[in-house]
Amino acid sequence: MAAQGELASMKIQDLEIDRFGVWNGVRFTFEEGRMSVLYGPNEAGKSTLMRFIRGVLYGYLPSDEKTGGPQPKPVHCSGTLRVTHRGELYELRRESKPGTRGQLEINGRKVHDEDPLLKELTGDATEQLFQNIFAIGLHELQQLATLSGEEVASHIYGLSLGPEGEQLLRAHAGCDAEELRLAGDDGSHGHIHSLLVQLKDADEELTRRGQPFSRHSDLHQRLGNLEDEIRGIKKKQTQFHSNLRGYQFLSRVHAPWSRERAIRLQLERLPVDDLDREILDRLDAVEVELSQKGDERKSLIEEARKHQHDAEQIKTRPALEEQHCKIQNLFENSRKMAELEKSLDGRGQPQRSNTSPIQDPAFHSLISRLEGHWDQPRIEQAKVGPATMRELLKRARDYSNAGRSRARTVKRYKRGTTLLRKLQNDWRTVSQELGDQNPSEARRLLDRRLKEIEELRGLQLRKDHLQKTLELVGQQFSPTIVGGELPPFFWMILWMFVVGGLILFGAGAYAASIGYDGVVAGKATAWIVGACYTLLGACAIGTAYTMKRHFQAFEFHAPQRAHDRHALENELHRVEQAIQRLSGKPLPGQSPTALAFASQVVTDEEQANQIRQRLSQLGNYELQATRIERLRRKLSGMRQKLQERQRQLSRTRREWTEALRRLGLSETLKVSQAIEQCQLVGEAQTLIREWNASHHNVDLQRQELKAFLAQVDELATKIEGPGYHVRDPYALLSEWNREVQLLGERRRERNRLRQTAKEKRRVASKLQDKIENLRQQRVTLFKRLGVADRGEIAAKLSAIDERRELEQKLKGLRAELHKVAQTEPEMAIVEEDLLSFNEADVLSKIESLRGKLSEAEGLLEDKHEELGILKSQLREVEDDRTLTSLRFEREQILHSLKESLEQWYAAKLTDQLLSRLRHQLEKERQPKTLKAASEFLYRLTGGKYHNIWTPLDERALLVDDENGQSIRVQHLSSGTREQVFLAVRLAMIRDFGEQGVELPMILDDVTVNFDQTRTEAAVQTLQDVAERGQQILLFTCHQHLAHLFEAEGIEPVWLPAQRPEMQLQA
Amino acid sequence: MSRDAFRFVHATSLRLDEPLSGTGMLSPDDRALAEDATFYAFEQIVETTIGAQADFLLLTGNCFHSRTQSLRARVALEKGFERLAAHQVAVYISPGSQDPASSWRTLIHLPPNVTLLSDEEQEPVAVMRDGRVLAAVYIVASPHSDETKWSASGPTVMQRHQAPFRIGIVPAGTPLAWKDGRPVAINNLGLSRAAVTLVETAIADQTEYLALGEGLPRTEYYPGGLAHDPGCSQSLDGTVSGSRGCTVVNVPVHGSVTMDSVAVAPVRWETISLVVEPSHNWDDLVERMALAVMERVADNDERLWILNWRISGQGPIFDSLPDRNSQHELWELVEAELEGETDVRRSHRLISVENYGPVDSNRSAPTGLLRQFLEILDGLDGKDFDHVRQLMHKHPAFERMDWRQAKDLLDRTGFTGVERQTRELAARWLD
Repeated sequence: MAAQGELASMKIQDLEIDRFGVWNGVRFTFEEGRMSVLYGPNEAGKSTLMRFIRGVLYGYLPSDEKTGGPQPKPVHCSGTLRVTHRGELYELRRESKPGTRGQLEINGRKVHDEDPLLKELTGDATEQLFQNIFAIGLHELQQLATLSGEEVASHIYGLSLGPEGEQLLRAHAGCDAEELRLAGDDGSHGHIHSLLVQLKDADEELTRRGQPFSRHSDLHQRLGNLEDEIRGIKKKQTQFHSNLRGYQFLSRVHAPWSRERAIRLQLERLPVDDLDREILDRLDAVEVELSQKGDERKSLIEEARKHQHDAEQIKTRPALEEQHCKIQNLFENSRKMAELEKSLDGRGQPQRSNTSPIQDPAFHSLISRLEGHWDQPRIEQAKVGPATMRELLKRARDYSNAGRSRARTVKRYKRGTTLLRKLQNDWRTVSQELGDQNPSEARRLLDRRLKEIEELRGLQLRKDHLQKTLELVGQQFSPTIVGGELPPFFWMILWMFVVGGLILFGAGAYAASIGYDGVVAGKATAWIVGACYTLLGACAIGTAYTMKRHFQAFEFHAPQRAHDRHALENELHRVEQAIQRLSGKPLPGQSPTALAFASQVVTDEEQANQIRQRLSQLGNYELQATRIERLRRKLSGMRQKLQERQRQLSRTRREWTEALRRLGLSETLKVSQAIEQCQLVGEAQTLIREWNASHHNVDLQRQELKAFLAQVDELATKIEGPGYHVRDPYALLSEWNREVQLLGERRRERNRLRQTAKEKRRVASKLQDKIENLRQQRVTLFKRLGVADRGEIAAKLSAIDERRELEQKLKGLRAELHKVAQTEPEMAIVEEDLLSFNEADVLSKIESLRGKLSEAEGLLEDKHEELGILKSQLREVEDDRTLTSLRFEREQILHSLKESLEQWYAAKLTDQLLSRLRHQLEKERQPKTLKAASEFLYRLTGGKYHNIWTPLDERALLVDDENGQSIRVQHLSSGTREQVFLAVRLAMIRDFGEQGVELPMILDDVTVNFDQTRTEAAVQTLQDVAERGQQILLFTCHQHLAHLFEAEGIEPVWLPAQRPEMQLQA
Repeated sequence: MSRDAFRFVHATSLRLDEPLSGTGMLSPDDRALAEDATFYAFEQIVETTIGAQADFLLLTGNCFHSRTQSLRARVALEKGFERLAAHQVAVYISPGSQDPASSWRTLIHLPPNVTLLSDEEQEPVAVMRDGRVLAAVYIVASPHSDETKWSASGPTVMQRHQAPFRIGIVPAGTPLAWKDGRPVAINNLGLSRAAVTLVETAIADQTEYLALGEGLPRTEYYPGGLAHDPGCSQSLDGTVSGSRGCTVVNVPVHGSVTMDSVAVAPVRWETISLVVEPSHNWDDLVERMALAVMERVADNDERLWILNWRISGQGPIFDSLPDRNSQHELWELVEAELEGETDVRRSHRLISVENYGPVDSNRSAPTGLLRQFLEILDGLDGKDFDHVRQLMHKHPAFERMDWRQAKDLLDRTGFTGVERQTRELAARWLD
């Protein structure tokens, strides 16, 4: 690349100055491919040499073409630069030409400054660019402004960091705007300010209103006092009411009371006799009843005596009677016992041959069907029942389900592994085919190759085009005139203008010469008219000439054959190289031999088609890889699931065997067998239970019979006496039973007779009591009447009738009084008040009380009205929602304020974070030029500064030192700053080189401010740059620098001293 | 010690006459309801206590704010206590951080059925019925618990008191938090750990019922008992959402305590998150919002729902959401969709718009600058936030006297909301 670059770039071979500044007739030759160092003391003409090179390339400046001194004189500058470019030698000679920046000749051919060859040589770099970047002195190096031109700045500052940078700036601006909206510049406006104002207003309003505690307390106090007053008035009112009612009551009661009092006095005078006619009738009835009851009593006593006698005549057997219940029970059981005895006698001795149910054939048969050793205790211990069977069945079901589930999972897993194996086999084939590439990499390579093929096709078309153009260039061209089509009226107008012009010109000249003053007075006027005519004529002629030139013909100039052919050949060469480079590449995934074969037989189109097919195939491979990966993941999941199923199976099997063990069954994994065993055990248990039950019954029956016979013997001893022998207990019981039946009938008859006699005596006794009672009544009646006989009774009856009449009247008056009293139930009047009653006095008191009551009612009404108002005011204070509403309003404002502050906080935080992000981006995404410049700076400063960067939105350079601190270039020392700018220029030159602008770099004493270490670093760096193909001409006035290069093997060019004292020294 | 069955109502953080915050614009009726919401809630608590035939009402702090000194709050409390007294229902009150005992004594007239407990050193108060002790009520810890101020005998909870049922109170404002079912200290300078020690003692002592008063609904079970916070009776802002009210606690003769939550708050806050996909249209969004609302069941006493919508996502519909007209239209459409569904009125607010959804398998993560920004944001700690706050303090506005309140508020601003808004801003500008 370096060699290719060297060919392409322009390099100065030598420069020959006829006359420029201090230089006259000198020639300097520069060694190709090496750095050139020109040493010369001050005023030796180093800067002049740099100006000369710039002057030849871009033209001399007026200052170049003048001598120095207070009165400059023009100087004719001329000189030649011999440069190589793309392997060819060009001679550029410029000579001063007045009014221009000098006439340039390239290879002896005069060209203007816009000549394409010159542009190609300079890479179309502008003079300003050359002066600021390529040919710099200390002054240019020190000026940051020289890096601010658009062409330069675009490389350094990158103008922006792309869309993301713009986005960042927009976000920053957004944050600022948000902050401004919320807080304003100084807090005197903005949303928060307005909320604060609202909040202040609300606070002031709240303070102004305050809490109505004092008013509320005052109202409460007043309300309490008023209620006390009302209570007092009400108390008085009650008192008045009570007194009024008392007087009114007294006046209503007095009249009936007076009448009642008179009758009461009359009654007191009558004797009090309480004789009743009915008592007399009752006395007669008592005496009749007394006679009847005496007779009846005598008859009853006689009948009772007779029944008692009959009862004593009936005989019984007490021993038998005592035991009649027992006899009855035994007799009732005797038939059953007889049958039992008979059946037991039939059975004889109990058969004890089958001492165990195990000897039962059926049982034995069952046992033999059970697996393992089973005996009676084990069977009895086995817990077989519906619940355990249900549990066993559930365990069996779980176990079976778990087994089936595991089997299904195993089956699916096996299917998956088979499929994966097949896919992996297929994939191995694909992998072998792809080699060490993966499909996506292969796809990428193929995509690139496809693009290259398309590019190759384009290049081939270009090559054909260039070849044809070269062929055309080889042919002879000569200048040609081609006639244009002119419209018919053209010549007429042309001649009209020419003739008109001539006439006007002549007229004007004549008028001017003779001093015409016919129409307009004044000599001067005639001159002006003449001049006008002359000018018009000249214009007409000029117009005519121009029209003729324009419409009549135009020329083709043949191309400058040698130059253009050379350019075309160069381009063709580049195209061919590119074709060769692209053609030489193998098809990704193919071996070179295959390529050779393919390149011979397969066209580009076919190759492109193959690549497309291959891309499609690779797409399928990627799908296949994805499917394998997916299947692997699925199998991994299935493995986990399988483990889970296995665990579940183990668990259910353990539960199943545990259930079997609990049942006492042999452990087996066969569910149906276990269930069958379980059923057999159940049947065996049933057989054992039945056997046990049957043997137990016979024993019980024997014991029962024995007890029965013992009871009969014992009863016989009690009834018949000791020593009685029972021969037939059943017959004896039958006899006793019959006797007991007869004895029962006798006993009932005797009891009935005794009961009847007893009843008769009891009735007689009651009659005697009644007789005594009647006698007592008769005595009492006489005593009540206060008489000794019936005659005294009749006298008293008349006095009683008179008293009854008076009492009737008294009752009516008392009812009237009671009615009056009921109207005032709470009132009580003492008799003294009634006795001292004065009607006029009482009426006066009533009137007085009525007046006082009326007065109290009026007062009470007023107080109630006042109370109502106070209560209303109190309620109003208590229900006043104004403060609540105000506080609610204030809270909403406060909430908005909090939200706004939060928004501001968030905006500020966002701004800060954006700055961090921006800083991060500025560090990471600097222009390529600055990255390269950072490398150069690192070398130039011996690692002290490692990074040059530019902030996002400004044209400024910052440098990071070894501590990571960022420093603006303005704040660096002048030496370091110059090193920064040199590094930037070196990087830019590299950038421009990549863009085709390849010019020599000319440095005029740029290292004067460098210390020794950094000067050595600069020497090394510049050498490295030169070795990469960049021509560098370094001018210096410092011998130590020249010697440094000399030590590095670069022989400096020792410029002759222009100053007399230096020449002497030399 | 045998115990009798009894029932009590536990309520906390009534915060009577304290305003609701961040309701947004409300209609006049809704506004009146919102202003009186705390009073309605307290009335319902009183009604619930009477209706449930509870033996007593337990209020565990922050019934009102002493700073406000609201007459309406005082009147409401006094009327409520009188009504409970008329039904022979006792009231036990523990002061919280906002309603200290001194405020109760000076501001509120307490009838005989009301017992005001002061602090953790007060002897347990016996709850009686027909001459038998039902339970002992005492304060376990208080907002000002400080071991240096304890008397020689120490707080009540550290003394073994025998009672059929012990109710320990941890009133509102007590400096402790709960983590994994255990009390933990709040990591603030100047705060004593005494409260945590006391509550741990109560738990170790198997206090049957620990009545928490912070106002954040919570139930923690421990061996021998439980700690319960019924939550505030009326949430004042969106931080506590859902139905709010009190708890009816049933204590049986044997067995565990059972609790029934009774919603009493007339205003309910709900924060609903929703993701808008690029493919969604208005109808989809409205339907999803309506469904999200319908998933929530209104309690009988609820009359207004304040729905705070947190919408994230992408797409044209999403992009139009920040526009106020679009929001208005959206609320109307949602209301039309919900017509006849519930009796409650609803007020909608869009509180957050994030233009990317949560990162999951179906959604691409934020890329480029936004991703880097969020990485930086995720790496921030409290010091970074404080640094930004310090930068804000340097703003000229804070030199003004009228900005002093703003500065105080800024100093109290939490990081969570700021971080969320920062994400929104970043997503708006960098995505």
